[in-house]
Amino acid sequence: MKTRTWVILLGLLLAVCLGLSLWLLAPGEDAAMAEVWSEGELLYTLDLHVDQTKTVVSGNGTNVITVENGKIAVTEADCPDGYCMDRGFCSSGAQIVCLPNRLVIKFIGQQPLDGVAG
Amino acid sequence: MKRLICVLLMVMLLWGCAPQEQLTQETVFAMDTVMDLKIWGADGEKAMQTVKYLFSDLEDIWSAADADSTLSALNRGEGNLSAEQQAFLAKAEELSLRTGGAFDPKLHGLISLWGFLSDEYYVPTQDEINEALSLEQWNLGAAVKGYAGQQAVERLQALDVDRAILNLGGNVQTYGQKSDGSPWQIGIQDPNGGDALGTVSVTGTASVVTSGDYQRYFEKDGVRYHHILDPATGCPADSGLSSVTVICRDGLTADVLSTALFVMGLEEAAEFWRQSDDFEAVLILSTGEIYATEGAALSGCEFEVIKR
Repeated sequence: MKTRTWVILLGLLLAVCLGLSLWLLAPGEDAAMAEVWSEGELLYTLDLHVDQTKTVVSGNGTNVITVENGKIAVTEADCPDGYCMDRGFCSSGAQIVCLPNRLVIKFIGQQPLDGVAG
Repeated sequence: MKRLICVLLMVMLLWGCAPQEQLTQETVFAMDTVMDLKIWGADGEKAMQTVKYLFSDLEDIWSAADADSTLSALNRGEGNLSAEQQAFLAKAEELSLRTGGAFDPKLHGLISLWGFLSDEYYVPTQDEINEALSLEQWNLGAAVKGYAGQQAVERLQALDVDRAILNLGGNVQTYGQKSDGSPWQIGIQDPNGGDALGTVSVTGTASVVTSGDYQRYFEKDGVRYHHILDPATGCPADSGLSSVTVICRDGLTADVLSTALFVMGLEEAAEFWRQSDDFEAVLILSTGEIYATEGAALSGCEFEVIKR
């Protein structure tokens, strides 16, 4: 093949690469998904756009998780402290934790923060 | 020419195949909290094992609730401490002096009395408080997580690790730089719940620690008692603050100062900051007002700046 053909191919490849990288690197929509972990195991991956209720029973106790209007909260718990419910409804940031019941709710997808102190 | 172009094409193609930096991620329960650990780099797996071992080791040594811990033995007048352990206690005492006693590493008796170790809460009388204060037993609860983050960083430095975020139950330890060179974005929890209230930008390796009255508390006869005890009164600090976040290169200092500034209250904490040069702070009042020191790099919320 002629050099010119190669140059054109090269140019095309460059354009495709550039387009792809722009698309891949562009900040995406907030994924608004949350993972529910109990005693170190992933139980559910919940879409926060879908209102729903889940009851998680572990060897340590029971938590009721509610998804409403794009936010998630622990709305009932039999743990002694109730700190998991204190957090209220939220859609990002620090994971929601019920330490006594070994329950962790993590936000996944594009996260604006690298961590939350609190 | 052709050959050159071929080589160029190959290089470009391979460039696209360059492996993304490897992320090792784990959530573990240790030191009476949940830890969210993220480590980037070739030695990620090894580093994860190393820091997990470190945290479990530190728990065995410094746990105040465990009668078999080295700390409990020390409080019974038994056992010997390693040079490293002695250095930790010496640093804690030094910080206690620096904060004029607002942080006290010897409040074990008082913390037990209020029930913050057993979760069997109790509102003590003044006599009981005075007696507990006179015990002078060690409790590093307000220091050990910050210390753990700092110790973890030392372990990571010895391995092929590019960067890490170690979130030890709300004590955030950063390590290294983000791949794009931008600062770490660390949120500050709203004391009233929900999402993060604001964000601090942090470059490189640092520790961001929050002490708040919402983290541990109990209610008795309609009164709320939180876990940050004022060594001067022996009661929960009544300083008008809801939370204090400290940003500092030194993890132990960050952890201790977040507690100490909470006990001091806004005015005294601001003055303490003016006399220091090794940390920045964000203070949230019970009324909701937010104050940040000049260099705190806080964004995402309205706040008053504390000037030098």
